[in-house]
Amino acid sequence: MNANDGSATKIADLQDRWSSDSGGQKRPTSVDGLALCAGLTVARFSASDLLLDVDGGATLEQARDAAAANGAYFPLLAAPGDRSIAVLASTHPLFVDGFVSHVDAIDLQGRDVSTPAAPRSAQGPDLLGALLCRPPLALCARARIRCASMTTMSMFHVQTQSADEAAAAVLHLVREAHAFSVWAQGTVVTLIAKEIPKALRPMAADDVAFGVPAAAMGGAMLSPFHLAPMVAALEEGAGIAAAPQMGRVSRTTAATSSPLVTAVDAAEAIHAGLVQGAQESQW
Amino acid sequence: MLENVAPPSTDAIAQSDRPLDRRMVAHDLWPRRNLERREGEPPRLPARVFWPETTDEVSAVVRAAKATQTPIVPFGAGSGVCNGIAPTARTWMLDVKRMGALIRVDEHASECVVEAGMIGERLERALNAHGYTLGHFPSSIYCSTVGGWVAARSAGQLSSHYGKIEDMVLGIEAVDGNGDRIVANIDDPKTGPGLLRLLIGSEGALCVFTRVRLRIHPMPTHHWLRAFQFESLDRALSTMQALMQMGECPSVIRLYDPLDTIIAGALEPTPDAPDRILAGAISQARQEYSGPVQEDDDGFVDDVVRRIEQLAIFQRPKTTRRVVGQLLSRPLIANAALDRMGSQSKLVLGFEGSGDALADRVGGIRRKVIALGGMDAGPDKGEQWLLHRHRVSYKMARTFAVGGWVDTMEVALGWEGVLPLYHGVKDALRDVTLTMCHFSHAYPDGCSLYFTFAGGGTAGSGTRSARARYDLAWERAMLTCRRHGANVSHHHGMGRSKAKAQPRTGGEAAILNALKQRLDPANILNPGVIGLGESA
Repeated sequence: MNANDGSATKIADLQDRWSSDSGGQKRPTSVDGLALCAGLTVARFSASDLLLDVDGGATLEQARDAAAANGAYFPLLAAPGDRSIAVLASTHPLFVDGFVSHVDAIDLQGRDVSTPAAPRSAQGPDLLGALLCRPPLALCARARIRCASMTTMSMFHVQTQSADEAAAAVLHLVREAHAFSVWAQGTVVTLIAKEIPKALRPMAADDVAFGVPAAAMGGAMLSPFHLAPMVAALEEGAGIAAAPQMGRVSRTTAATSSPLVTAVDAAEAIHAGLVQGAQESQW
Repeated sequence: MLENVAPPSTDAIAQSDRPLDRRMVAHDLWPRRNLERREGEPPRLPARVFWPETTDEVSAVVRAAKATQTPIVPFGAGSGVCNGIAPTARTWMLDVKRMGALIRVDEHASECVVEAGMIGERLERALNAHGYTLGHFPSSIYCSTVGGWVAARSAGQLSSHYGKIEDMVLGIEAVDGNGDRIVANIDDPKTGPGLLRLLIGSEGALCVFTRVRLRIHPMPTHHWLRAFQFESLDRALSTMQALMQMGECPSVIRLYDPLDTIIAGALEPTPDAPDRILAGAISQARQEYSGPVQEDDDGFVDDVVRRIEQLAIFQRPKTTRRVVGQLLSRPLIANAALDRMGSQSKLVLGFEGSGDALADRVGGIRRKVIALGGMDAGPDKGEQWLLHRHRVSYKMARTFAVGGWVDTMEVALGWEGVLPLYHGVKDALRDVTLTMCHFSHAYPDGCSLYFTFAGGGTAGSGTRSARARYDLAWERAMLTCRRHGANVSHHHGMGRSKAKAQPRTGGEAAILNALKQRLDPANILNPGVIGLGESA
């Protein structure tokens, strides 16, 4: 774990408490247990790789501020700033699948679990999503998050006339794969990119009511090039988040808290999910 | 046929225990196996090969294997290079190539569903007939299957735009070690991307893939290719990094190190050559030349021989060839000579899209690359890459024929560590191999380094033998990668050769072992691969 000294000590303490049967502290049973980590902050920003190392207990606001202080955009454009990175990771699969490149986590038995370092690998199954998403297998102690440079990219807003047009704009951006991050709500599409595609009409930033809906905390993945589910999401008042360079799209849902589970329980749940998936699929 | 070996439930499934059939699936293309074959060591044959045609037939074979505690290994086209296929004499092989159909193309969703045994090039042509491309072009596309790509987390030559195979997979249908059909879909909240990612890359240790759901793209109408030369590798890498971090996402971005650049031949400045935007996608251009090797095509050794002859060191090809074979056993001398031959590096860039969109973009990109230190070498040298883009998989035999060996290693690291890792690996192998490298899968946060190393050695198993040198080269290379914090595999998978170098520990081992125990409780699925389950 590449934690700085203060963080490393705190995480080690946390790990000791979780792994000790006789410890005075109760073992956390959900990612809300990450409140134990509150106060840990941003550890490192790599200007070369545009990667932000941030503790799981840090809030989104802290992470955004840290990225901005280093001249970079934090990838997720809309999510409540008071939530921790660990909570966000447990409820928002697009954040994990599209923007987290590496994680150091601690499982319920107090064991370290680290995923391969950036950028990409073929070192067997990728544990990233299974570790952090529902039901989480481990607490996110440190996440390495992909950011974009403010010197080469900017934030743009696009006004469309309808949900259909907004969804079509998202689809266009995901297919082109140039934009770093996209957020659509109603008829407005916001993107971080080098430039705005010719096909899209920009609007002044002052005109944009760029709120942060509470519902933005939860997410469900969509088929990335399928327009109809995107239109439906926007018409239902949901937001759409996308990671075009990874070809990932999701819609917002209500966030639900999930209990942490052990590896054995998780394996049972995973198997049940896969078998149920087979029973319900149209293959 | 040994009628009494196979359980009754598999009788209706095509199968064979004939030696030739078993020989065809006995191992993958791990180069160390070539050394063993060259020295007359026979391959270890599995007990039987099955050719299932449906998911139900795969289930039946797995259930029969579980009932008899028989190891079972899924087999696609056998083009893996990490010893992922290593059957024992008891093993049943499950060759899935008869499951090779494109099931459906959903044009509304830009998706397709394909059987796992379909050869990649056949899939691409079938999609092209619908006006689509998968965008996945590994050099093994003529001899690898969709299931194999997903099993080993493959990457294609246009990955910087289209992504790796795990980015393309939207769903998987498979059979687990209980014989149960399982399905994971990215847009199913019960499974989602998390469980999908657990199956991808499992190399037959957790399940047998039967069908794959993939995202597809409308076929681009035009492409543009161009080559640039840089005075140093450092500047060329910085240019790659800048292009990726600006979100340019070129379809082709390939940087060759000085040795690779020398072998490919010098570039001439052509600053006045106009941009050439050609009709068709990159994948379709010069397709008539892009397949398996022609009779007169060069291999690694031939390339070196040709360059030495051009330098007029030797004028007789047979002599040169013999000298090159000997140089492979004395790489210190060869490396010292090659180090003096230049520091220039070649970058090939390619973009796809509509003609109008490309006309808007490429001039600015060319100027940007020149501003970053690139010398414009024009479109011809860029388009020349197309001629050889799929041939590397077929060019290794001649190196083995002159008494040497050759292998490749694809690793990945963040940009700040790329150059130190490059020099670290070259230095670590200096007295063992001739080593060159290209950089062909780039991301905003780093890239893959693709090393090709060639060595020599005597027959047998002594310290100067080819096998010992091969093992020493890999041991040093893996150690260097781990010291630099690199991922030891970017797209070849782990098999057994790399799994040995990167053992799983702590929570990762606990989670994967628990999953293996649940999905494959009898430990019959490719035991030992990627470090999961005890070897049979």
